[in-house]
Amino acid sequence: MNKEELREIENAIEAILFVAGDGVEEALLAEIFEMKQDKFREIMTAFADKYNFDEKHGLKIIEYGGMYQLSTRPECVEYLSRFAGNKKPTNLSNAALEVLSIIAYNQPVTRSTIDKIRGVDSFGPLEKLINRDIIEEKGRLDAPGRPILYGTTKEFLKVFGLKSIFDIPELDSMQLSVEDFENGELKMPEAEAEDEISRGEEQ
Amino acid sequence: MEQLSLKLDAFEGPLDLLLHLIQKNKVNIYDIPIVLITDQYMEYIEQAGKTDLEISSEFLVMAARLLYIKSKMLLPKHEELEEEEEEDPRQELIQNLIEYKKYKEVSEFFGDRKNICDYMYFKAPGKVNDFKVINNAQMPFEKLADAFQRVMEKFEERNNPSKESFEGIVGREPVPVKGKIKQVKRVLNSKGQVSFVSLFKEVKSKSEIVAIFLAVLELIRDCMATVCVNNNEVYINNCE
Repeated sequence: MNKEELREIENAIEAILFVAGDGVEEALLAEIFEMKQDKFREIMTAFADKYNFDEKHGLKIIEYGGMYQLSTRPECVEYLSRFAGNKKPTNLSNAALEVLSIIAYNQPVTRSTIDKIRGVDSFGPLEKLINRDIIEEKGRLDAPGRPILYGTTKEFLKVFGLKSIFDIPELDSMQLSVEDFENGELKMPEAEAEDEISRGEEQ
Repeated sequence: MEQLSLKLDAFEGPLDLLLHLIQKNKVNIYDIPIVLITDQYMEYIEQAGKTDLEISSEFLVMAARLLYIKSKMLLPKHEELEEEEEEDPRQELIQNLIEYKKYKEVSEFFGDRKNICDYMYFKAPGKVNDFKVINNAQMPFEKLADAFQRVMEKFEERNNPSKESFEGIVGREPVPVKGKIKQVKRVLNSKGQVSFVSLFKEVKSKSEIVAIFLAVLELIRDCMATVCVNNNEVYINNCE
């Protein structure tokens, strides 16, 4: 493929994304350009890099969940809000963010697991996340009562600016994990424990 | 101890409150001073009981759990039992706390990013679906051709073709396609969808049938109409 042919494809990609508005599946684009998906991804990634970082247009190509979409460049927000008004900010409570975190790392997961980890009922925040299309039902667990399983959506990736679910940070960033504790590496020092108890008695 | 506007509302649940107390007292989560933490926890509950009408049951369950652990740890241990490795009564609670803490911490990652999209605007999609049908030639043109064939056959059954009708086809166009395009468009605009056959209800000649058919094809070509099949019946849809 020479330079001009590449340019033509890039222009066509841009045009398709413009018309689509929504996210377009990578597989569909590859089909349109009659390419293997791997090959297309190579071209697409290079193009998106060039478009977003070298050329810096008013638009930006975003990628999430195997889809590409045109959005406006975040830096343009000030002028855009003068033109179109402010967007309603994404408002998610801490409770909703906790529920979302548990789902993101354990999906598909039932509500009772979520409740158990949080130690508190999660019905409200769960509803809110579903209404925002950030999580969705992913079938049912084959267990008594057939409880609903929840998982994250592509909209979730888009809202949080993630290419894929693998972009979320590793969960065990804490230095000490539960396993360490269970393996007995952190046995409670006897003396201190007794100390603590006697202090308790004094109170 | 600090005095105290202790609000349970500020916490997501009993585990959140416990983590707060552990942090405030700067104690090791793996070695919770259960008496201290329980006392402070109970203080929150009592305070909340004075102001709020209702304390959610989870907080009370945790209170009971803490008191149970506290009492178990205060009881003198049997000498023989001490030899055996007795399970620390705090262990399960500690595991719950650590598990919860992991997710609480990582939820800050999502909290930091939740507004990313607020700075980006998106365009509403164009009418992609209409284009797609037309471009991918997914329309049932064969069915359309069949339907046309049937209309022709029916017409012939009805009227044995006279010599004049042949003259019409061979001669100049007696039924202008342009006029039929307008006519079909009018029908589509008012009804949105019509069955293909119904377009030919009042035809008087073969050339009129041909003209209407051509009109339909023209409309499809110009993306003003689409074809679909429903229950073996061919329908023409308005596309504007």
